[in-house]
Amino acid sequence: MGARAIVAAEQAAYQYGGCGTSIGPFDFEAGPGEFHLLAGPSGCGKSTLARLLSGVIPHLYRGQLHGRVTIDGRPTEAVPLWELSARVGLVSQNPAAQLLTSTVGDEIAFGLENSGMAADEIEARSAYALDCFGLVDVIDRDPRTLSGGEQQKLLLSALTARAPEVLILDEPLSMLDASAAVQVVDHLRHLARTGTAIVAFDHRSDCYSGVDGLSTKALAGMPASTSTLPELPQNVPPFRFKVEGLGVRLGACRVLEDVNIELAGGQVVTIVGANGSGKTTLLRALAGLQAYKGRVLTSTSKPPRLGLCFQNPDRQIFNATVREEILFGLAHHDEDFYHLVLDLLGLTPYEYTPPLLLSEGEKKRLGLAIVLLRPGLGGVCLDEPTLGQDMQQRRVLGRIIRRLAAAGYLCVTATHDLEWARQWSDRIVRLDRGEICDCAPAPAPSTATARTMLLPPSLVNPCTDGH
Amino acid sequence: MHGRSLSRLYATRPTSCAVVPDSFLRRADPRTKLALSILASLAVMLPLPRLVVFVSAYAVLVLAAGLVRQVGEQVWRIRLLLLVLFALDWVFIGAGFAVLITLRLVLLVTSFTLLFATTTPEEMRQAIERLGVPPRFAFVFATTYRSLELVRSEWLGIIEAQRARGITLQETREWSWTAWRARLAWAVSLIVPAVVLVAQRAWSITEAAAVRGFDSPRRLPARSLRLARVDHVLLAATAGLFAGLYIWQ
Repeated sequence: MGARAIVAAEQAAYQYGGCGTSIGPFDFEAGPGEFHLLAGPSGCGKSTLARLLSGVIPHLYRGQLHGRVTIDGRPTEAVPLWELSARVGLVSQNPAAQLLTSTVGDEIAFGLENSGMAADEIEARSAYALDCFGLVDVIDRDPRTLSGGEQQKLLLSALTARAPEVLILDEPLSMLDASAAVQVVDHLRHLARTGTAIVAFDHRSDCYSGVDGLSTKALAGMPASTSTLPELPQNVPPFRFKVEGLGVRLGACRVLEDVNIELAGGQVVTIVGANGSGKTTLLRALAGLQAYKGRVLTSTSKPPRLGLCFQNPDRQIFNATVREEILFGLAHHDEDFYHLVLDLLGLTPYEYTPPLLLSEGEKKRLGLAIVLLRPGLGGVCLDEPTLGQDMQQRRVLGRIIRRLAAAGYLCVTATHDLEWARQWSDRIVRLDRGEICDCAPAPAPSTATARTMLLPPSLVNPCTDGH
Repeated sequence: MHGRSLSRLYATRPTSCAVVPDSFLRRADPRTKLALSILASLAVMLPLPRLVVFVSAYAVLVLAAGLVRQVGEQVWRIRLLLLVLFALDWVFIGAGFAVLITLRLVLLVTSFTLLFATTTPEEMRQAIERLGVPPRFAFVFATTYRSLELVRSEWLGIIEAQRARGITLQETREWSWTAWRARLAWAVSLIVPAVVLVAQRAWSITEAAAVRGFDSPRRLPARSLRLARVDHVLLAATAGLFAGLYIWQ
């Protein structure tokens, strides 16, 4: 252990209660002003190491800890968690689940109150933290009404306001668009310069490239399969459709306005845009889950059915096995196609596994399998499919989507992951405050781009209104 | 494009801890509002003439505090019960009794709107703490209160997610075993994810609170509660009203 290390793990391994697999061992240490970036494939134990370093393990989890984790030389199990939390801050994944109060101001004050600070100091620190992350204008808002990116910034500001010596961040940029990610990394860099040790667990290593003295470490884990994916049969008839003047209002809020877009089977279209720009709402509208104003013109007699894969797959899972989950409610299914989909999505080994035991990436692929088995499907909409996925899983996902497009499916994804979008999409649509501001082929077009997108007037039939 | 719209589910903002933007009652101390709510619910024991006077004063307060919509929503939810009770009481006992029961029910159902529609969970937590409840339990109370809306929105999200994959409750009057199995399967498809998500959220909240120093013995509230002029006026007016009603007796 280095002489200056604040937090250190020595051969630290952890076995969660009721689970046979031990995660680790890990060796790691961080000293004042150091900026560490830890990456690794999904399931390699990044979140576990984050919990170990912050002391959440062993204080809140009942499992078996091997090895040693120390903060300033003191073992974490020997120090109360409230005392550790004053020195080490942790922001976990999924910011929405970590919100504790009903206004942005109270959210920041919560941790400061627990530190026993005087009201004046709480006010001063809150004001500074809000200013750093550009949240001053939303101080009275309910955090739940903020976008995912704003929530992530709020949690970061709540943590940094407490001025911990070590800041541990589990996927801190996962919900942020490119500009917000740059802003957050800049702020973290500033904190590191002022002596805070930053430990970030993140796949988006490109966002940290400008950090001086960045220490990058790869955690070992089981890599995702890179075997050849099976071809899907061409069972989607060619179709094209055009959405004209699409608009959505939620309550008093205008979410989408005059969106015009042309889509066709076999395309991979990615919707990008800042947090709150209306990406998810557009997907929901395309999937028929959101009423809207506007017209859909289609080349076929019936509008194509688009299935939606949700950001949180846990909302759909309730069966005892993966097989039952996928086939639930289907009167008939093609067993060959079912196995082909399982192979394509890498779920064959888990066919009889309880879905709740799958990893997040596997659950997302299960959600896609559920959609693909639905009869009469013309395409899929995927909401943030790369969220929380490592590089290899993102690549596998990209290949799956290209396979689907090759089989004639329309694939529409909404993501913050521009790098992924550029690599795997035919077209990138940029949304800005509910309006399409840019719609262009992706810089590295694939073969499917050759399919024409514009509808000849003869193919255009007025079909349905969105109401 | 097709399918049944679910947008109305998302058209509303969180409501359980949504408070009226600004009014004198919004600015009042939560303890004052708690006292007013308790007194209003106790007023159901008044006989009819004095109850009418109290309800009139209560209506003025609701109107002045801008709570007509919130109180109206509460009454609207029990409109059928009110109508049936009013009709039965009128037919079998008399008009006076019907009015008495109706007013009592309305008062009982709406009295705590004075508190809940004008107080955030954090203000509530602070007030409870000041009343001597340990911070841990005050936090649990506030979190539970705040989470009611979260559970509702999660529930709606689950319904949408299942509907997106074609799992819906078919409208049927059939009472066969097959129909009951379908209903049961639909219920399970909602309940299992709901239980999982609620458990996950509860755990996330525990972890998030712990890493921000929850349970610290050093905790100091950021805001101190102090009765202001509006509290004194409200409490004095309520005391005056009850004194008047007592003297009337």
